[in-house]
Amino acid sequence: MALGVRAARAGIARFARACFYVTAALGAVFLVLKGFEYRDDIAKHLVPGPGFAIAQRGAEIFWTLYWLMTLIHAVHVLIGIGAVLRLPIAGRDRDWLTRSPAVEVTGLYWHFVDAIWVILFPLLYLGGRA
Amino acid sequence: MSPGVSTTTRAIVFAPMLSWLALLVLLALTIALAYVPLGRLNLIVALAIASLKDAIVVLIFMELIHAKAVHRLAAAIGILWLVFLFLLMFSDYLSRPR
Repeated sequence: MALGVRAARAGIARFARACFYVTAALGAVFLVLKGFEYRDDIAKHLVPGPGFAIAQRGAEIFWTLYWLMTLIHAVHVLIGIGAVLRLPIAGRDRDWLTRSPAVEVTGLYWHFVDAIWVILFPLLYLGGRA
Repeated sequence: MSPGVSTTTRAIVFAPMLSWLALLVLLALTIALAYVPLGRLNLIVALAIASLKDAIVVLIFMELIHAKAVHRLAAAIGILWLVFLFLLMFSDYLSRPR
């Protein structure tokens, strides 16, 4: 994404479009992997509510946060994929791609979603492993 | 390719690719350190690495390192609001009887 925004600004339209398609594809891969993970979690009864698998105190609160945070993140990524895909499509017009502020703003949004995941990942996945 | 074009290409590719590599190294580091028993330090180390990664994202990917002071200030205000939210949440959490 960062490469795409810089390339678009420098007028290298074809490379920028390719960057945006790759970015959207990687976002989609993230969602698909998350989907498999969700299927696993559901199979292991890790959805808070009746039949929740772990009796330990606080576990249900953690998993509520896990689902809430990752689902909101998934919605953000989904919006991001749509916004990023718009760039090469609207940007078939070379002038639009190299001049529209939408390119930079979409980049900012994508990196904002990224920045959130950077914090969420250690909080949700790395705690209690040692 | 003329030297001029090659220089621009290098200028475009260099910072993002280097940042990306740094992010991957930090990701490997944070995952490795998560398995080292450090007690309470584990969370602190993980969040410190996450902050470093976010600094890279915000400064280089979001280009705040080249931004005007007023833009940096506007971005920093977001952190201020986040601090308020955490402050209110933790003041509730810490003041409850166990």
